[in-house]
Amino acid sequence: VAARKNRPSYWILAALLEGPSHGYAIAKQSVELSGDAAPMGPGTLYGTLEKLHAEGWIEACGDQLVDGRTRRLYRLTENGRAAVVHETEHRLESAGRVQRILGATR
Amino acid sequence: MTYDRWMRQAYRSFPQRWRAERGEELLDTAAALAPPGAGRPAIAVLLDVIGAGLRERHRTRPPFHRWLRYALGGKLARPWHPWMRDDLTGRWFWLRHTFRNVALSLLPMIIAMVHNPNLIDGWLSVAMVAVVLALGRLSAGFHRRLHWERNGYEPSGETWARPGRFVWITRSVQRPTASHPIAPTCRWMGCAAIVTSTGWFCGAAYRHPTLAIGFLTFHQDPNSPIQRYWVGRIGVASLVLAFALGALAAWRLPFVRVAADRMPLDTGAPRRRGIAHIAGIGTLTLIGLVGATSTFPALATAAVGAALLVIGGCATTAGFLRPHLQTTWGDLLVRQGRAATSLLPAERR
Repeated sequence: VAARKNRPSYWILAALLEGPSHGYAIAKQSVELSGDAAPMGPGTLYGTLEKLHAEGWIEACGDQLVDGRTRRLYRLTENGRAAVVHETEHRLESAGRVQRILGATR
Repeated sequence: MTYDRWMRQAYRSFPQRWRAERGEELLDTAAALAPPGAGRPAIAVLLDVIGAGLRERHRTRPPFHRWLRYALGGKLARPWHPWMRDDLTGRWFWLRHTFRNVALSLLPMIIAMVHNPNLIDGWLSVAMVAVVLALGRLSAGFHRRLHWERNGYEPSGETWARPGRFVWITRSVQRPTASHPIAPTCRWMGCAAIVTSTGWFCGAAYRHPTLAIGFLTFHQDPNSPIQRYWVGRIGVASLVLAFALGALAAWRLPFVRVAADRMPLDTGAPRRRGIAHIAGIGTLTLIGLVGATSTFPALATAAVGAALLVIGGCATTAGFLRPHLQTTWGDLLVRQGRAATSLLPAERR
């Protein structure tokens, strides 16, 4: 439910579906997945990561050296994966209902 | 100012513990997300970081009832200890402490001033604010140590390992009970201050239209020069009465002495401690004089003051409510017992 109410949460969880990632890559991937619809500033990114971590939907899983800098990696937990799957299905259902109406009115 | 410095300013909105652990990571990511050659972050980015920091602060702060208990000198549950650490080690702790602790002690005065804005005005208001701030600054160290100790750490806070990890002290911390040469004098004044300020509180609450000591009764008129003449005399009379009551309580009520002896003293430098005590007691004396001489019969003032002394003594001796008594107000309440004790001959103490 929180992923639905808060759009950045959904895109961040979706960005982590492919595997562990660090903050910068998550931000880039989120913007790409949302088609530039969810701009991801550093504040929103880390504020949301913190909240998702507190809710147990993501977890830190080590560090990675990128361009000489250590970056923390995050990954989805089982609960996080379930949340993003549930939300994606919900969005598909909603979009399907709208599409049926569009088809009927054409 | 460079991009990095702008971001460092903005990310101060995040809690201190968060910055220590994750701050550099946020700055790195912000720099990587910035357009090449950007000299200053866009306003939207700055607002984004500031907003996220404030939301994080709000999300991790204790609920109001827990915060209130902590502010009154009580324990805070362990999930909020990281927040407490930030609070106690932050640069502006003294100011927060002043508002939450000293201002809480002066709540009666604030209520009365709202009811009757003419009670204290002009330079006196400015002087009182200055004294309150000075008192808060001087007593901040004492209260910081008190919070550490109350929550199971060494008073210095040194046992705190690092954010997110806790070292629990199971043994009780021994505190020195040595006194300072000027302490008895301060306590005499505190004795008077408590009684008169309690009377002021009652007077402010009821806003009694007459002023009386014994058989003398005066109708109140703040604009009358005669009233101003009497204010000084009645103030002195209240002080004398307060001294007498304090001595009487300590002489006849042994548990007041016991409570006073159990009261831990500030472990700070003697001179600093003395100044803090004088500032605190001076403030309350001033408030007490203003209140007791303007709104309520002084005999009732003294009676309520004595009753509070007994309640304070009982509560402290029994250990009941003791954490809450250790606010500035509570400290002074119990110190009244000490003050009274110091009036007694040595063999009776």
